[in-house]
Amino acid sequence: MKSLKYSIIFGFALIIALVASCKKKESDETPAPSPEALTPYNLYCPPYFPQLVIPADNQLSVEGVELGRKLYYDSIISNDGRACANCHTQQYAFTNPVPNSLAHMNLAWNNKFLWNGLVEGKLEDIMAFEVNVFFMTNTTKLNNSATYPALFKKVFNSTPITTKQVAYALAQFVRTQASTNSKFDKYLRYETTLTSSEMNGFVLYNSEKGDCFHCHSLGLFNDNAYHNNGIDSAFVGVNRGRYNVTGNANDMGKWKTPTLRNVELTAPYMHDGRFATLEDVIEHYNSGVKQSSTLDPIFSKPTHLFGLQLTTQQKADLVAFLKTLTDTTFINNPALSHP
Amino acid sequence: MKTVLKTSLFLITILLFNGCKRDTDLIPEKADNGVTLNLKINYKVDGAALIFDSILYTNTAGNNYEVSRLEYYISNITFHSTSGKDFSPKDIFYVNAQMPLTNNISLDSIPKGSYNYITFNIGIDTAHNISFSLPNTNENINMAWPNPLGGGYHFMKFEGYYLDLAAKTGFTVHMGQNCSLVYCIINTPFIVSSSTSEIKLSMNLNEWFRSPIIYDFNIDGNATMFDKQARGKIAANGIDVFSME
Repeated sequence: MKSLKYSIIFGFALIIALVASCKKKESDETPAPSPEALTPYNLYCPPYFPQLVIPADNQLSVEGVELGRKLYYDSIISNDGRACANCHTQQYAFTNPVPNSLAHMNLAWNNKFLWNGLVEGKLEDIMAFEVNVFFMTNTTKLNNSATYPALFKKVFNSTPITTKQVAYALAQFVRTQASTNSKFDKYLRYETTLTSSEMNGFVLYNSEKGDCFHCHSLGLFNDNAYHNNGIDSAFVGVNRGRYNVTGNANDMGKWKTPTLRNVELTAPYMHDGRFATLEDVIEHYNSGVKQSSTLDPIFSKPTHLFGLQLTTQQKADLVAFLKTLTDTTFINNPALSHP
Repeated sequence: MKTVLKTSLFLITILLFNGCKRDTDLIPEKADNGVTLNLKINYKVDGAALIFDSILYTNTAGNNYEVSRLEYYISNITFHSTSGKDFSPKDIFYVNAQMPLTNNISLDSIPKGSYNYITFNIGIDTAHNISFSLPNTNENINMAWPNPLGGGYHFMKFEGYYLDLAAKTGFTVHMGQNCSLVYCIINTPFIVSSSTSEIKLSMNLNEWFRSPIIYDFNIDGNATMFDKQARGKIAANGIDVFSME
């Protein structure tokens, strides 16, 4: 009987020792609990997009995105009554005919911002520029508001509201402005087919004759790079493009490649809106490219020396294909609209 | 009773201190896994260091040219050993001459010993030259060779300008498609020892236009993507564009 008792004591001790020794060290593997629980936000990344990289210090949360959205539509961030949405309207794929602003679309996968690339890096960087330089946001107004302090406290767990937090919240929302459901996306997912004209345009887009793909790479339909696409031969003032940022003569007349997604909705075209229609743009590449010392080498191919020489039908096919990049889900998405 | 309690305490102490070892703890003593070294690539034109965006260079055909872009893939690297035990990692490396990090290729587990020569491809071998086979980085997406043109990836984009009858004209040496895979040989014996940390390679851009076929932009064309014959000449010339420093 005694030995049974000892065995029980021994066994019990052994179990305690084993359980205690196998327990993982909490300090190693359990993250510090957040004072305010945030709901993770999962952003869809199509397999043909670049890998999505979100800074560790600004991971998406439902609350953060919602705060960014509220700010995006609120003129409180400026001192002259403007909000982001004034120049970036959803129905135009978050661009605007006047002024001719660049679209807020799939910027989560971009690392160069503004037409001349004045800001490069992360969305947080360009939003910091918008908050500190473009809008000159006065955080006192936000800190004194009835609603914002609690919302910021929830997301960032600190007070008072800072311009960095405003930029980070805006970056979270802008990161969700993803256009990934155009007819062409559905075609890539085998959910629909292209008409013969659209397909002809797609093939032309990827051919020597059309040669759109080198700068407007499939997926994002831009290449995160700068090019001189021959719209000018002499460069004055703002038309000097990237040169105005770098001072490097080799950057004269170069611009960030704009995405062609939703291009049907983003007229007028080029940095100064000089082309009113898609047909005008295609005609530029067809017959209007101007020579200069920084003209992209792509335009010097023997077949391009006298323009693309497209037929009327080929131009129409290209336009038909470009219109397959229109994403009505994106421009009607209530999660992106005015809250 | 005392003995049992003592034994129990002893066991508890031992177990608490040692505990259940996790997998990560169970690393065997490090074996001799060879040498890790850095392949460092730089760029020259017949001995002169490459400077981008300046008309400084003249190829064998007499074309005066400048370089504005140079990006390519390296794959199938093989160190050919004198003992017959070649070292051949399977990785595919993206290299952009204007992105310093990509010009330092780290290779692990290289067996120590003497090697006769190095071979590799500029481009991607047939088995991997398939659209979307590489990770979707910005660079890989921009190197895509469109599906309507056969798919896969550009092996190389070598762009710039040359003087065509005194007028500055662009050139685009774009390589791609399996028939244009470039085979490079660096015919220099070398030794990998525990003190080897770097092998310096140099690409001489003029070799793309020199031998065995003199390539002239004015005769052979200033754009190769849609010209299989031109790509073939460039691919043949690529065999000795690299040397060891």
